[in-house]
Amino acid sequence: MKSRTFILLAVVTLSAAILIGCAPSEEAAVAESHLIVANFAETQTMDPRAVEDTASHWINNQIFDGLVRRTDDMGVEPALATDWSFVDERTIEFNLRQDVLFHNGVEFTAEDVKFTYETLLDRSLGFAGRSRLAMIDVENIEVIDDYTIRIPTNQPFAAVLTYLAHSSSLIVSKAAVEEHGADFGANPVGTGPFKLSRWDRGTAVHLERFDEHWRGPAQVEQLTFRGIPEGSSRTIEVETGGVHVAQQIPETDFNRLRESSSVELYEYAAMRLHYILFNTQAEPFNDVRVRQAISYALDIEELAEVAYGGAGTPARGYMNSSIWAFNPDVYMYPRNMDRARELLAEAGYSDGFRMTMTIDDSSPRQTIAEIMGSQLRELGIEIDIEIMEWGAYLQMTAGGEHDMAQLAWLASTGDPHHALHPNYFSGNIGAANRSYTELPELDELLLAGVREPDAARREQIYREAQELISGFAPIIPVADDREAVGVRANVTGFVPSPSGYHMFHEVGLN
Amino acid sequence: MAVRLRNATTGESLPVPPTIGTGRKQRTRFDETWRQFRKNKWAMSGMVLLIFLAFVAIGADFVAPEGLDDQQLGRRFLAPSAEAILGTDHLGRDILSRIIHGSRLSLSIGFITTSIGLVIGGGLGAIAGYYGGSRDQFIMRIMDVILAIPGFIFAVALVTALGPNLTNLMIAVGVNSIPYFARIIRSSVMSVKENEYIEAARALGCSHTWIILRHVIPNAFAPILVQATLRIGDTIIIAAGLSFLGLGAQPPLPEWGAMLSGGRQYLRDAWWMATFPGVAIMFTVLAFNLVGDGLRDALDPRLKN
Amino acid sequence: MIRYIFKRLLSLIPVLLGATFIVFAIMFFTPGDPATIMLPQDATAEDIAMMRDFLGLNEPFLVQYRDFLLRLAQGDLGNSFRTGQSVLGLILSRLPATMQLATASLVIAIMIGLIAGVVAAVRQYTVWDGGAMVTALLGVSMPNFWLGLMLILFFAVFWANSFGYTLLPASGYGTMQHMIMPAIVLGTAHAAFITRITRSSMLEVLRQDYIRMAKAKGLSPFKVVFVHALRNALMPVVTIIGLRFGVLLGGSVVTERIFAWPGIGRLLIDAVRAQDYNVVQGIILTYAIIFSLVTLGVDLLYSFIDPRVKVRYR
Repeated sequence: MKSRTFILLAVVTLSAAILIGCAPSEEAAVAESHLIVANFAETQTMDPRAVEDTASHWINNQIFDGLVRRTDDMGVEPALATDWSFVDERTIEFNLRQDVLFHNGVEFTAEDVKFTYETLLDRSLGFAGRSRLAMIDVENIEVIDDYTIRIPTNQPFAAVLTYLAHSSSLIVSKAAVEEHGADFGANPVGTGPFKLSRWDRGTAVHLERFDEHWRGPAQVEQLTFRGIPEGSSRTIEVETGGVHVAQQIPETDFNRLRESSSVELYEYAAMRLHYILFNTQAEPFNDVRVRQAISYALDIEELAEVAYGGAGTPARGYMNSSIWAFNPDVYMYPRNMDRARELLAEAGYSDGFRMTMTIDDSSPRQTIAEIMGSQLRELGIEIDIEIMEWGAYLQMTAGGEHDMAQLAWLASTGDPHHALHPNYFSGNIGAANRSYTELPELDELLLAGVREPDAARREQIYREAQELISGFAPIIPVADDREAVGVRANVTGFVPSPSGYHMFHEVGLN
Repeated sequence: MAVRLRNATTGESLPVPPTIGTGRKQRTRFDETWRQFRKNKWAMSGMVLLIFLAFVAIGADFVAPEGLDDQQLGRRFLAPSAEAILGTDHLGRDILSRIIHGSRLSLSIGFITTSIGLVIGGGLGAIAGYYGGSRDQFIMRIMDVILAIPGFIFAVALVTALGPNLTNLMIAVGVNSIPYFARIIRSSVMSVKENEYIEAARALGCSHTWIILRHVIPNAFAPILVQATLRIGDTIIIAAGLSFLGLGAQPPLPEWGAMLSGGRQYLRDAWWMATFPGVAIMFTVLAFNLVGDGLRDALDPRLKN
Repeated sequence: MIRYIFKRLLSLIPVLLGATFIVFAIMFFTPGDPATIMLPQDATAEDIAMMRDFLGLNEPFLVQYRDFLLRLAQGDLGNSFRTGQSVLGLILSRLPATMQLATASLVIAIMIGLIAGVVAAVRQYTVWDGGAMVTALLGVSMPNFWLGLMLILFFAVFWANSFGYTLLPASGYGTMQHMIMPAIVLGTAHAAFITRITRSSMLEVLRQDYIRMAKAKGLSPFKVVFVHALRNALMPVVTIIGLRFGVLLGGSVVTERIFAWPGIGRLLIDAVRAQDYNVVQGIILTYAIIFSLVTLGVDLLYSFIDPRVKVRYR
């Protein structure tokens, strides 16, 4: 009888030991051609059609190719398509590479392109990437032969190539999708330089080199993406050699890595604008003078510095300044408290008012809201800060129930249409136009811009549009985003991409 | 001389059972408890700490060197020094001042959430324990269902649904305590109601509600008080945990869990931002635990070692 | 005994169903919806409506719940809204990590708690006793996420800042080193509780006549304490471990988040945020099942420790 206690303890200890012992041991140290990368989130799925998060897109970009791809200076260059021409103002014809194999050994043809876009745009399949390519007239995609395809758009669309270079447009293998069905996201088959070898859910995605890749095999044999959500942990990992490349280094660690001899910090301007927005159709912000007054009252340089530090530069205009056709001459409301008071008095709010600033739980946005609360108190404006979960936040701001809010806009295609149209076109009220901007002249310009094939004339149109927006002051731009990647000194050939989707085909290890 | 209860119909008076707060017999029990409690130096130090915290919280506006949102962007991330004893945060606010102002929040959260649990859970538990039968079955099955979901996880889901702010945080943590108190009070009530004086009261035609409120609950008071004190500490930790996940107080409120969570991203350069609010939480919870333990030992000498 | 276990398992079913109903209702009435979160920021109202339709979110509450039950009856927990993967598969791939962490922390807690509790009781009113009690009190009063940050601050940050390498990894999964900090963080409060309960329970037992008798008979003190006394003092300890297992599971959510531990707790927080109902539902059901089974296990352990309890089965 008395031994029962011991049996009990022994059983507990033993079963624990077994469970712990079961833990898969980590890849022994680091094989010479095994590159380990710290991603800022775990991957959701490796089906490029199904994701809208940048952490997954980054990995998908190593596994898949698109028809065209972004150059490092955000132009467009051939990828699976060798060249293209406009058949008419609505239709573009692509000639495809003839030497491309998918990871499963099947040859790449125009049928795969057609299949990818048809499934992506099939509403009954519910792919998240669908709205990115909504301009494509999917009914009329025409396969001329195995290596020629015509893709029409619903209306003339000058920026179509930049959209086709986006990660949502990566080409999947028709045969593999038909084989795996809903599990394609765990069994991805593309034409990219790396193929999936193992997916440890919640921990890491292990890729291996695809030797038959059409640009020639990659430098490293194995490529692992670890999901490390905590920013400072990514820094520590890259400093101590646990990973070779760490994405999105937190701003607080920039200086530490700049001074480090074993890690190099690559900083680059990302095409994202952080901004504060008004609901321009709600009291009292439906009065342009109130919006301008608040714009005058805030010190943008200070907000950008305190909230974003090295991870942002003070905004210079009403779209991200690294996007083509950016207008550097728009009026930016310098800090001027007297002018702010005047405007408020003219609008009939000399005693101020009480309003709610709605944000999600992002910490720079909280910081900005807190500083605003303290800076606007001088004008008698009291701010209640309301924090919402992301989904509820998006729904509420799309529905126009907010006073003021904060968001960022990433024009990941690098095209001014993508930067302006979603946010300021009146037809997008209820969607991305969360400031509820409704300006007929602006609408006209934005429509003209997307139809205009001539680049110089397009640029003129978008510059004018930005001036109109500045006068209307529907948002207060805060900062252009800067991101930084930490890369260990023994890594060769790393070139950061402004999209954040750095490619590893030519990256090697010393 | 015992307190007399006059029966409404017969005018007879009866000796009634001990109830806290009235009568000499009561006072002696209270005195005895206090005597026991005072002898316990752990409990007394907890008591002193608690009184200190209460004074700090009430007098926060006078005690704190600065306000709760006095931003000075020129002195961000000051390390602890003579100028700011516990350092400053990312907006140049004095952390000591914010912790002092935050003590109000944490203490209110502890008391309010525990009260929600105590009143609703206690009510349900008393009904279940007193009446028994199908009412007991019904109430306790619902409590079982809630208890089957780990409490913290239930609170996370509830705050997300209600929307993250201080009020909803308190509701969620309070609801979380309901089954806890329901169980405790049910079993206390069940043991009390077997006593003869309850039967006597019933025989005299007292209403059930009267009996529950006047006799049953007061006599189940001791274990409830102990558990409530200990529970306050738990709820402060649960609430701070929710705040830590971003599901709590809205800025610029200096809620300790939220301060800790905000300091997390600066851990490498400004360790004081995350460290001191945690220390504050720990000592507050410690005070409640010490007092709760002391009360338990004093009220129920059998448990005393 | 088997009949008793069977009966207990059967009685779990309504409780678990009730739990799914509550969770389903909470998620249903949460503002915002999964479609909005899945689509890009510039999705139109029409896109969102379409996605809602695709996900079956436009059905009335009771219809959705009925469909959920029908699927559940076939052992199907549905698919994740975000990724389309089966929820069951998702949970099974993440559950081992959570179980490892829970087991490791429980083992640490039991070992430390029992030893400290016994020592404190045997050496009552000595420095040992005082030290164990103070430590245990602090352990009970400390929020575990704060302890986690303090450990990271010391073992990873301080070490990396001073010596250029980390003593223990700040996050990740796979090796023993990765497990140490999370297991300590999760186990501390339990070690403290077990210490306190073991101590008071041991003190009571040590006063009993049969212990004095055993001592008088000249049995070695070690044998008296660890064989005779501890066994009889174990009952309340087992109770507290069972009762607090739910707290342990809840604590694992925060711990997994701090240390990027790939268990179901982290998955749950992500899913709650993305309003991925099916995943949330599946995970909470998993937690409830684990918790209920542990409670049942504890009840069965009683009879193992104290054979008199067996009488209750009839």
